[in-house]
Amino acid sequence: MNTKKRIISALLGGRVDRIPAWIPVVSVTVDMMEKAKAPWPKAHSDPQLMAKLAAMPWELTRMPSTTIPFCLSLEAEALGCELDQGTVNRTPSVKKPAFAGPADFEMPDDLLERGRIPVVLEALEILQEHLGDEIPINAKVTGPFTIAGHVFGVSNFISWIKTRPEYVHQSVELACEVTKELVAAFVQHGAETLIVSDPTSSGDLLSGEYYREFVFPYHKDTADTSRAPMVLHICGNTKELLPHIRETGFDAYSFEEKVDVMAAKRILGDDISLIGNVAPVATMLQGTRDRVTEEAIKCMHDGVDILSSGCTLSPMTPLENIRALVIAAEKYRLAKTPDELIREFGRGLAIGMEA
Amino acid sequence: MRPLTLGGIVGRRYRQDAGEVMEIIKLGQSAPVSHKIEERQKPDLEGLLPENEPLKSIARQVADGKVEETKSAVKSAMVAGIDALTIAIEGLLKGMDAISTLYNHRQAYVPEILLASKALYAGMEECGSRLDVLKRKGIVLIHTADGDLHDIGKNIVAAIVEANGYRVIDLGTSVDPVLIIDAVKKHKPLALIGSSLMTSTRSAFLVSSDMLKKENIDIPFIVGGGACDAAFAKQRDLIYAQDPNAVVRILDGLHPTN
Repeated sequence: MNTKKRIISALLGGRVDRIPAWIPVVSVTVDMMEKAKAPWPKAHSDPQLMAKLAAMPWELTRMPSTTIPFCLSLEAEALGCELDQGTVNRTPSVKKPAFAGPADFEMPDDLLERGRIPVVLEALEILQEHLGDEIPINAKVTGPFTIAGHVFGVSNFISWIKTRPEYVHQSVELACEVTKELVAAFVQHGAETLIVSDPTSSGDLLSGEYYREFVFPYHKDTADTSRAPMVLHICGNTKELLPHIRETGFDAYSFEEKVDVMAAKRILGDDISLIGNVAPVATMLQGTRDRVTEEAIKCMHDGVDILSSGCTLSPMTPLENIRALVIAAEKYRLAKTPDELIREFGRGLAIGMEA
Repeated sequence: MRPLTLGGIVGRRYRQDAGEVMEIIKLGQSAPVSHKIEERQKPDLEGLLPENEPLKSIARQVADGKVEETKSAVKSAMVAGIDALTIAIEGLLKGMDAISTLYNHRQAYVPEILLASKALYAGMEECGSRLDVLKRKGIVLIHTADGDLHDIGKNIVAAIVEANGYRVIDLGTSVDPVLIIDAVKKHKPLALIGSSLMTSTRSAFLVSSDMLKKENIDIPFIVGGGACDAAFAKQRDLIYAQDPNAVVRILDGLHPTN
């Protein structure tokens, strides 16, 4: 089975020969920028450099990730937010909201020509041309709730949940149009898989009920919009959101180590593939190779369908730790004989008893 | 057929079933238990509010995050002759305290906290005694790391620390270490709080800490946020706080009269 097929099959819940390692969130590091001579922030706005850098995880570590853009501010910038351009190890971020309320929001007709969106589209074409046969070309879109938070100001926007719920619905609906338009454009320009990253809808900020009311309909809408396999990523502790996420219609869910894999599996079942969830800071950034391997095996044991880091890698992450993740997935042996299965079943039973 | 991985068969199906079987045995039920999240206890706001009127209704307005209602409740209490200090400490702050307690138990969420802090500040302004009242436990400075523009976590901590009776001076987001040193010299705070969500920005805390040391300023430096952990804090003499509650505990420990 080749890398591309394996990942897409695992994403859609199908047959695979082994669990693939694939980081759908951004996984480029400072070392890669040096090798590719494509440092941030330059690589955010030059299609050649962006594509070159996005190919680095595959070229240097065999981690088949090509996720672009590298930041979450692409959409906000196109909608008129002022950005801080960031540095070599810091992504651009939104400085100021663009609008005071949903009434000010104007959906631009030329969205795809605004800001750095053309850069990303061109980079996707380059990546598709060079790597399209080997690995899935993955693109990242910011989720509607996060876009709304950016353009209206997070604190302001979150407070509307209590004061003006109708504003929240209007804003997220507008933002959702942006998300959907980008999804369509990315697919048209060569993206084969998509990740919708919506950190502002995290369980650290919202309760399950709020998620259901203000985020769920728009996630569902986004998931229904494209024929490409789609991953949802939400940071933080999202335990209370899981029963709702199960119903969104996304093909896979990528989550942080704050949510236990086995607990997530019990809630999500086979309805949605699990991607995760080696700790990005404590393990990938600060840990040794052995620690990465150990945690990777635990994740696979507990039931992830695709082995990944729980969230975007820090740009200072050592290459050997990313490599360790790839090797762990390659070496992880599946239980094959009935004996082994019975033993593992017993283990599962024992763990169930503990819980 | 799906692969027979541990995740494929044990983690995914059998383990799930095994867990269910155990639950059924435990509960003595015959039907499978669905995967539902434990029901949270209903928030008990009533029990956290002060007992006497009108302080109770002032606190309730703050907890409900109602800015205008808080203002008018404070006004009428002042007309009734209750002094501003009592209104602030026994009314406004108790309301904020109640909502932060609910937040710690995951019975209230960020929207509630943000609104309550707005109401708190409005009420404080109304009784015109904000500074006097909040001097009682000391001043703390709060900021996000240089380069980090995420301020929601910082705002929550600021609101909860304020609710616990400290005067919080907010230096804002992405604060240059030089400005921090100046502010520390100017306000002579009890502690400095830093929040960082992006791992690439947290090293700014080390820079600030080194600069403080160079200036011979000895001040507790509390750090927190998604990018920080205890191991990071150990690199210098920083104090790691996991959540807003921990910040308050640390501050209370620093306060000499406590």
